[in-house]
Amino acid sequence: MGFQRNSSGRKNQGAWVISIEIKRRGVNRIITCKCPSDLESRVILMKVKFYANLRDISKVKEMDVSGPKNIKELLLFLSSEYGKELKRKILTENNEIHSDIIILVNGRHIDHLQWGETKLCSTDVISLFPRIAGG
Amino acid sequence: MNGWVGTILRVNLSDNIVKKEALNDKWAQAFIGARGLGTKYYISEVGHDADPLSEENNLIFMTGPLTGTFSPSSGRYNVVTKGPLTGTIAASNSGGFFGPELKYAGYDGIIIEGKAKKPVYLYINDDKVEIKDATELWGKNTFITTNMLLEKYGEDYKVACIGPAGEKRVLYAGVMNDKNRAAGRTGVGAVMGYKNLKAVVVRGSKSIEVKNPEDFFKTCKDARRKLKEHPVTGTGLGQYGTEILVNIINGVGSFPTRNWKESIYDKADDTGGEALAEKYLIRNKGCFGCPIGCGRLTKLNGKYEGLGEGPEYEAAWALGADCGINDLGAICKANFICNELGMDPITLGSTIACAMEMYDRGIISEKEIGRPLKFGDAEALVELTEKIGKREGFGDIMAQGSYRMAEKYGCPELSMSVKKQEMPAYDGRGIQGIGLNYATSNRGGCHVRGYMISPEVLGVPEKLDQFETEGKAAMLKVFQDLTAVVDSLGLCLFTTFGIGLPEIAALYRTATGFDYSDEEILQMGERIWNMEKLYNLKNGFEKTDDTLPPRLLKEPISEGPAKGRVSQLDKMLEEYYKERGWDSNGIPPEEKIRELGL
Repeated sequence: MGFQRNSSGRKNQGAWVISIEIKRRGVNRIITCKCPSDLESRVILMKVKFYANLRDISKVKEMDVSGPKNIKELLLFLSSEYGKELKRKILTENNEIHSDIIILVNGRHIDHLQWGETKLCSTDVISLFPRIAGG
Repeated sequence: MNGWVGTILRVNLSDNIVKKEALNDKWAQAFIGARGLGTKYYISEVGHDADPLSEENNLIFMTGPLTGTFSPSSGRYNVVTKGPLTGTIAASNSGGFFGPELKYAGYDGIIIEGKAKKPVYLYINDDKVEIKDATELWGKNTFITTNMLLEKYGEDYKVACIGPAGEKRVLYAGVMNDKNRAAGRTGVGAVMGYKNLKAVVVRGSKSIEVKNPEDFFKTCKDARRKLKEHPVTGTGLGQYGTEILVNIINGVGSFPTRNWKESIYDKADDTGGEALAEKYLIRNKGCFGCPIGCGRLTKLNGKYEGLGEGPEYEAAWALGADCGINDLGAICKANFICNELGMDPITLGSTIACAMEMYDRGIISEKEIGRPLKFGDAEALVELTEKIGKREGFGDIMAQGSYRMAEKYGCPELSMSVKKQEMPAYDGRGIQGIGLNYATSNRGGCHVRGYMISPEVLGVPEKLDQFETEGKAAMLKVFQDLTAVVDSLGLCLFTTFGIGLPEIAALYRTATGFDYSDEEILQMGERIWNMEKLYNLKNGFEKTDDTLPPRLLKEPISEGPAKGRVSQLDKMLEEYYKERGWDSNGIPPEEKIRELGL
């Protein structure tokens, strides 16, 4: 999909070098990629936060992502990155948004935005929860 | 009668007399059990102007027709009295195993009258009932008291008791059963302490008859399956407990912080269910017959060493974010102390948070408190929790709750309470419907009278916009009435995340044999709600009491998704009174009272 995730970024010979640290099944993976300098101004990093059992699967509390234009694209990206276990929680077999997930964009439930078509931009914070309750 | 066991135990502590009397079948049929039936008995026998801490006030332990049956999550009972914190009707609900055991002994409920001359406890073993000397138990905490009684009588007994907080009449003392389960709110433990009643210890060997055993068994099995299959009741609550709400309520910008001055806590994640599971959780724990298992067995090491249960979401919030504290070990420790001394951690935490703001503003001094009291001071939280439970030093003033404490210093507006009971962990400015629920709750600031967080944040049964006001009154009425039914049946409210009115009504019908429709059963909830309201009106409560603290009405939320919002209570309240069929002053007209058979 060509999305980038970032935990730290530095400029290197006119391009952004983005280091990504992923902790999965207890193993840290660091992926470094270079972006063409003409993309420099377009590197956008939104924050995705995982909670409850979604955090257990992602093994990280939060990550930075660039690229997805809307919620649906973001969920497809996360599914490709974290595999079937996460996909089963967030998307149906038909790649529709799962009814057992709560998604907030900057604190607003996507039900009150444009659901899967909710547009995303660089400063957005996206919070992902399974269906939870309490009281 | 099926479901009910048919006998009420009446204990007069002043005269040292125990009587057994037949259950009032008519009342049981009309007011179900537990909360509804207990309240009917209470208001029929006690004058509305009785002082909560007087011999005239009764204390009632009441179970429901499903308590102790094969129905899932049926371990609940209610303690009903006039609440010393609020002066309203007080029905405080608890789980565990005590309620079912009382029914197995052959009693739907116990009515405690009068006051013992010296500390006593009530011993029940089926038909054998005795009032016994409790001198050696007096002064002991709830854990030690329970252990001493179990050691004396055997592990099969179940114990409900008060701790030192109840003995010393902390106005928000609870009744603790099975050590960690609490009839926690409104101060029912202070009433028990006033009566010099330290504990009730019970063992039963009888059975509960249901009308249609085969149908009832099938209905229970179906309800149990639905609860197991539901993502919330099947896995979510068991895995993370209620504390899992911390991050989502913070996420929607409605997590009251530092005595509600802010609504987002930047360190909320340190205190959430995920952190609790990672750091302190040993395993989850369930009440009688419960497939959900939301209880937390937790162990602390190091500075705050201890073993206990919890905290629940509201307790973790009151002892945490509301005081600006993110030290989860200190929060757990303060919660353990609340359980051991027998106190409501919601009111306790909110009272400490209120004192922190008063200290911040220079209204109370370090000299008066006996220590500095800044927001975020975890050591102060633990120290003051202990002092409040024992009514030592400034803890004696804090033992009266935030309203009376703030009023004493001329700043009652700093108390985040409704009808003198502190509101729990959801900001009514950012979540409009829960604010309306706080204002209209018949027992003061309370979330479990009409849990509007379900539709407004969690999307159950349907997602409503938390900022909107339209339609909230109608939804709240249904939630309040259904909750009154669930509480009165002896079911856990958490079942409603996984099953709805049709399943709950089917449990009632097959257990009791009364062929009421779903709508008629929901109307029983409305009857109970109106009965409670009429009692409060008789006690002088009026429309001006159906309100929120000025901070929620006038001070907009300062940041986050709910920035700029205040509660639009006036608009919703008018709609709410209409939905209830009450007049514009919130008074049920004669026609409504007749319609409900009150």
